Amino acid sequence: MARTLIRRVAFGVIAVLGVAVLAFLLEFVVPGDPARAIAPRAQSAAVLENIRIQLHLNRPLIVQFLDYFGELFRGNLGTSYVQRQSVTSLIGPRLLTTGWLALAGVIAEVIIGGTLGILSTLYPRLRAAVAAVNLTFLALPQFVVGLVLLLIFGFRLHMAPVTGGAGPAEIVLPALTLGLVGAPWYSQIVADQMADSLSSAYVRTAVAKGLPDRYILWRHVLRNVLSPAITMIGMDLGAYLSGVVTVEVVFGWPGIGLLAVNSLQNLDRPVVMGTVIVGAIAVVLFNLIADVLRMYVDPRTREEPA
Amino acid sequence: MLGVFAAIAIAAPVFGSPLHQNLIGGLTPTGLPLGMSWAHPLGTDALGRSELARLAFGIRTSMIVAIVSNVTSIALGAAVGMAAGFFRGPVEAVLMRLTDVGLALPYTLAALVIAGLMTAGLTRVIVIITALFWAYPARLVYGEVLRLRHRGFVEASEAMGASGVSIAARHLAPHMFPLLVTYSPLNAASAVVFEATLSYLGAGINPPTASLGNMISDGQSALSYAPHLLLVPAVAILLITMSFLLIGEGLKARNPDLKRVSWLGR
Amino acid sequence: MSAAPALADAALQVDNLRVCYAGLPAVDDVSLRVEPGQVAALIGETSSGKSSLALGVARLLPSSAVVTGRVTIAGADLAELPGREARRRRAGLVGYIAQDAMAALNPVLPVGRQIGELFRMHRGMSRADASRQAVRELARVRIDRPERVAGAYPHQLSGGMRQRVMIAMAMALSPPLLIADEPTTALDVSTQAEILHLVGELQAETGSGILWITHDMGVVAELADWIAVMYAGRIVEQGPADEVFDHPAHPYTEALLRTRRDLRTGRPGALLYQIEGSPPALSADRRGCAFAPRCPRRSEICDERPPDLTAVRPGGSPEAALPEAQVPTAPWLAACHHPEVSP
Repeated sequence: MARTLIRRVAFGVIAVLGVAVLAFLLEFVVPGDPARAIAPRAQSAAVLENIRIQLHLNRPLIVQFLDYFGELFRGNLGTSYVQRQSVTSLIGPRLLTTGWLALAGVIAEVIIGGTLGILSTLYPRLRAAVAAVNLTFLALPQFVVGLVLLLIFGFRLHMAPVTGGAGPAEIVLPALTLGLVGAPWYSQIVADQMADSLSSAYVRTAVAKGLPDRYILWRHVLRNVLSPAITMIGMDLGAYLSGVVTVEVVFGWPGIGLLAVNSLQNLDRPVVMGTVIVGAIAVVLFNLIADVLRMYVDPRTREEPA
Repeated sequence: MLGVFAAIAIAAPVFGSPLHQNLIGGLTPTGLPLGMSWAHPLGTDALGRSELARLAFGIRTSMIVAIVSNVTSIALGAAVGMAAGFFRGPVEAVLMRLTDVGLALPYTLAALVIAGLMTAGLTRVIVIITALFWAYPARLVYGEVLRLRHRGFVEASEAMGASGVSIAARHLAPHMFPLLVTYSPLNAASAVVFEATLSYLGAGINPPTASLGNMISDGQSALSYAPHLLLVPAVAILLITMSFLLIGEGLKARNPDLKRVSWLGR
Repeated sequence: MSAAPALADAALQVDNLRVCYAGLPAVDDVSLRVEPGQVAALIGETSSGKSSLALGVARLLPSSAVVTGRVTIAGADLAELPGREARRRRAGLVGYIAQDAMAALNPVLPVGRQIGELFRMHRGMSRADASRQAVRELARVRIDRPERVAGAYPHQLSGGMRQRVMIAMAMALSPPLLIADEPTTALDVSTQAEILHLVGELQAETGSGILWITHDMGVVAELADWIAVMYAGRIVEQGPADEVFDHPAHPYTEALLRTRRDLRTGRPGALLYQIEGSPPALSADRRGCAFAPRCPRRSEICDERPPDLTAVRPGGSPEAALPEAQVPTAPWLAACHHPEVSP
């Protein structure tokens, strides 16, 4: 089991590094002169040149590359062109804000989706209805759901605040949006896995052993259902943490996604690079955590097949 | 039901062929959009353009995106997956790490970044989607190739002296088709949704070209007096995506699972 | 014993059991009886209905199956009890040993716990006590280092060990009836022999009755006291093992034995005996004997009337050959219009 984990961690690190490289390459493809971005009103070429020297932009490519990675390992993501702060200090608090949203969103989708999945398995008459609901929300983009929710609850019913802000009242609608959009995935996985479990030989054995239905569901079936669900939760947390851009834009939620969008518009390259890298780290990290949890729950996954 | 939706989705381009972008004639004297009428069945948008025409174009855009980017992303992904699974060794390692990177990328962010590099338009969207969506089919194909490798006919072909590429093409490829065919409706649906999202954010297709996504973003500002401008394209997206998903469901149903019983209660 | 033992003493008594799927009978009016301490072998090909019979007896068929008839296990008729009660009592009455132990054990729980839950649920033991008892059960089925195995997961064990675990689970509550549903089919020959030996020993220790289901006569040749042969949902011959093996009355039984014998003793190059044709599919109407199309003794009457089970030696079985205690109460029967018993 340890070997498998180490391999996973190694691959994860490589993936993040790969993303970092890609991010670095942005430098040479994004239009716009960083110097000008920092000092838009500078008139003389000398000033701009000075800035470029300060940013090491005049050094050969390789040196810049190594510099960049050196800083990266020290946790320094550079300085924002526009805001004169370190990128890290900009991203930090936003990360937390997005984190809340990600967490709330995942909780929402697991609860909604899981319940739907369980219900549709145990009560076959509901299956068609649940399938229809699933289909609908699978087909809707996040922003549409968000807008519609905003429309109904924000504008018409005035039940929720419509301007930006990051408190508990404001988190409801965006989290609900994520929840509704993500629920069908969980619903399907839970339903599939439960159906598999319930028709399996080992449940038949459990019935033959005289165990009551509720006990069987709880003790035998649930563990098998958790395994794929945990994988998905890990993926989702990572994906959301790396920037739920659409939802943040729709609701004005001040998280990483919004920061990234704004920085992109301002050609604030370091910030953009920083967000992409942080995002990749989040994805890899949470997938790893999910893997560990899953290994705990499902012993078959502890060894990687040869 | 499946067929009906598919038919609608395919017929949409037919509607869109004539180009109805009559800027001036579409506004009331006070500059507000017209409501529904025979001349303009779905009313007009804030700039006076016929909503129906824009809708048709938007649908057509979505369809093109869905099909083209679906094909390209799956083709790329499948090629990578097969190469990795077949050639093993260093090729495999490199390709699979690349795939990992592709999977670790934050989608929307990366899309925005790439978007910043290109000019707005259909090509941009297709490039973005291909660049982001290939990793998943690559992994799927890779897994499948690994599984098939051990079935012996690969070794048999090698023993007979066939070259690598021909083995891959003739023996492995046919096995990929069912997998990929089952996956592509889902991929197409995701592509449609993603394109809409991108256009909404301004990173995909921008006005004046119509895309369901940017129509929604336009419609947002007209919310108070003409809500249908937002809802109609939204419903369109819903229907198109649903039809793809239903096609996917239909395909899956072709491979019937063993009947499932439940032992509970016995 | 002079008089026949009371019916309530039978480990298993099946009366006119019929199992139908979607209106088609898989088990068609089967009656049989297993005495305590007796090993009864139920032999049949794949579509003979033997698994349906086993599951039907254990009441483990899906609810889509229609079951009629009467099943009494150690005097208790589970059909008369309400659902929950029936389930609890069944566990104490029947131990079901499944064919595929890998599928029949929960992959995410250690096997010790899977055995232990029986004791926690049915005997009210604490978790610690139940664990200890589980280890003891594993030891009983001759597993080495049972404490280690108890903590292992099913996929970590070998096929033979998994089957032993299943046997331990089935015998844990010392049920009067064990149903072994082809437990050795998935194992290699040497493991098969071990399991057979094990079951033989255990059964002698506990005195349960065993209904052993198989398609391979050789497997139970040593172990069985009594044999029933199934074909197309019906019992075509049943009787004391020795008798049936030595002098089969029904042509199907005879054919099975001949196939078996040829496999074991045939010279290289000699043609193996094979029964022509294949078993019939489930169907609702059957006019004559189901085996007729493949039967060498076939005649007109065979196509007109299905044969009933009739005694092979009217008047009783050859007690002289058996010690008194083993006189079977179930007579030697065969369902054929032309039963032949070679002397």
